[in-house]
Amino acid sequence: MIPGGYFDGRTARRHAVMLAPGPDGVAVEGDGVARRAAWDEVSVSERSRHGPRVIEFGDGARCEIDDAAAFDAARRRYRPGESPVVRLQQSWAATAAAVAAFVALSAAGYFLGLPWLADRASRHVPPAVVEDLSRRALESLEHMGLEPSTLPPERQAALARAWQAMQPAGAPATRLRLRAGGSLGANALALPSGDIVVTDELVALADGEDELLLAVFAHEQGHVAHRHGIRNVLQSTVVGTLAGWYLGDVSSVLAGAAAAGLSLRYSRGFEQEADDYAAAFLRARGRSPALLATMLERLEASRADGTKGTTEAEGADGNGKNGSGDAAIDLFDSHPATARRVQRLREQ
Amino acid sequence: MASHHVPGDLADDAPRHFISSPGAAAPGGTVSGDVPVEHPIEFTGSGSEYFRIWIVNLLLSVLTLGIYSAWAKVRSQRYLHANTRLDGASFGYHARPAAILKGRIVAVLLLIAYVVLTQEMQLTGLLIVLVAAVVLLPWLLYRSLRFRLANTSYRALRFGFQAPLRKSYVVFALWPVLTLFTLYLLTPFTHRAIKAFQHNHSRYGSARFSFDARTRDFYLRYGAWLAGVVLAGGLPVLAAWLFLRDAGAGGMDGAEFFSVAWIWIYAVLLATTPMLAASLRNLIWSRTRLGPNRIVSRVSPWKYFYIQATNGLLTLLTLGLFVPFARIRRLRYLAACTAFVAAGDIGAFVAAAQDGPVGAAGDETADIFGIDIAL
Repeated sequence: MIPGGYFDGRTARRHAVMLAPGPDGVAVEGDGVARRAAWDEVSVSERSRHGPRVIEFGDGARCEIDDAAAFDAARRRYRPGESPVVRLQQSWAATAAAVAAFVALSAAGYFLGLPWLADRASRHVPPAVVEDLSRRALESLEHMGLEPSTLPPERQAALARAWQAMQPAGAPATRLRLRAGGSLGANALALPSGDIVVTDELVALADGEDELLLAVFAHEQGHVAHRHGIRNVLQSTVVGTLAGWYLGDVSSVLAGAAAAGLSLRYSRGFEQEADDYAAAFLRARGRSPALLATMLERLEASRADGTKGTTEAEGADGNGKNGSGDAAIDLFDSHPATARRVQRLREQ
Repeated sequence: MASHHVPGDLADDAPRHFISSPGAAAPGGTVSGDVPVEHPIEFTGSGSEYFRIWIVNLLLSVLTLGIYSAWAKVRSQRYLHANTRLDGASFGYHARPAAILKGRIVAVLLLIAYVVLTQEMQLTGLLIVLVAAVVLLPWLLYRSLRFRLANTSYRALRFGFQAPLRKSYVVFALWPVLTLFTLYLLTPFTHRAIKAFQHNHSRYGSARFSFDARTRDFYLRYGAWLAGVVLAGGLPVLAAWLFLRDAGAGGMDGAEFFSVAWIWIYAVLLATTPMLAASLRNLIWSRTRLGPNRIVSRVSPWKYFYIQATNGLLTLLTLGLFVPFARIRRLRYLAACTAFVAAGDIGAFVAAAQDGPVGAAGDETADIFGIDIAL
């Protein structure tokens, strides 16, 4: 006989009762209450170390047993077996395994699963969507201060011609768009549609050495060829949503910071892929990958001495980044360690 | 456990009719000879036990691509409710996983529609989304309130929410839109209006809750918080500016200083939000009554800030594994600061006439769009 409190569902009055679990069900008796119910007719709360054991009757009545352990022991005698989930939850070994499995799954998803999915999905995005995404990214960049280029039209045309002349058959179509950089400073950005936005300041940094510019264009073309813009949008959206769901309860700032950090790591991978593409492209045309390294060094130097420029295509607000912002990938995106990139390029 | 005062001249099993007819306002005052008894809310949940429930929930949800999450939510809520005790009895949670799953599917469909509309159709899409928000949100929040309360019980009596739907539109559409247009100056007013709507139409059994906080109280608390932000945020900025100017420090031009200053002020704003939340919680609960019964809330803004800040830090350090412990820690503190002051015998409450089961679509959609009207 186990003591408990019975509530009949009609008033909030607590009736002190005694429960007798048996092979057919449970009997409840005391303080004006006398009822029995088969095990199938009641719902018993799951085994847990803390909290009362609760028996819910079909008519809305409820019984609370403070000595849950005693009731669990008695019930196990007559009603062995419980939900496998409960057994998992109440076992430290199983829980430790669950932690390990969760960490492993998350790591596998982040490093392998999501990138693979994004890669496959990016191949099937309709061209209209790609155009739309790119157009809006360009518009938001122009809002940030991109003005028409101040370079003479013949210079712009000459650059475009030189670039097109280097194109092998089957390369993704790219279009150079020269602009005055404004607050963006010296930079080049690739959009998923194939548009490569190049700022006058970047051209100025090359100081007449057009080979350096062509190396930069090759890097940007790498972004287009590998569909990094679309993949970045997909990956950072998923990461952002999951981070929000996982950490949102505790702090939305934390969730945003986590999402930003995780997306950053993806962006570094994209930069590396684009660098490799540029290196291969340059070597195939009898030029040295060191050309790109030299340009990166000049860019780094120009930022270090306080020349205006931003290294993100959109405001670095992990929470507010929208699709268009992620679609444009610039030369210096996400601050990958420039020294390491330069070293890698020179070693190739 | 807190003691029960039972006047000797009344039989134990005669219900005291403080809270009698359904829907009617409860009579004020208590039966003479009864002293109000404060019953503290006890939270007996354990962080380590909840962690185990949480991690198994998480793993199974991931393995089932989210389908199990409905069952996970029910398990989690049942544990938390069962470990919340008042006067020797615990709370109950009765939502069915199937209802929650249906709600979550609706929520995901709405989310997809939202993403597609805003990405594909841009301006028209955005307009459609805004109109849909104004039309749908009040309805969803209304259903969310009904679902949540109807599926919560105490001593086998269900809570409930009964309000005219049009009032939901005033409170969740009209005032928020106006608040937006007044640059958020109406926020305290709208907050009070929302809480009044929520609490005035909630009931426990057949007894109605009531809410009598004044708009002025809300403005005072929001104002105090803003003043704190200006002081804690603005003063250091001013001092830094004066120092840099006098020291003739180069290397930091006006625009850069400005943006750093704004980041600092924003950080102060975020950090002090728990303090505002604590202060408002105290106000809201202390002005909520259930007939002649009161509620006491004594959350310390400093302590609550400390708990939230350390929760956040530990969550960061453990890559999120601290989340269940953080939740328990927060709930335990809030419970310890809360008490129900019963004017008479808690056992005297009576059930209301039955209303039907409420679908979960409101509750789950409200979650996925980040709308939380808790606290």
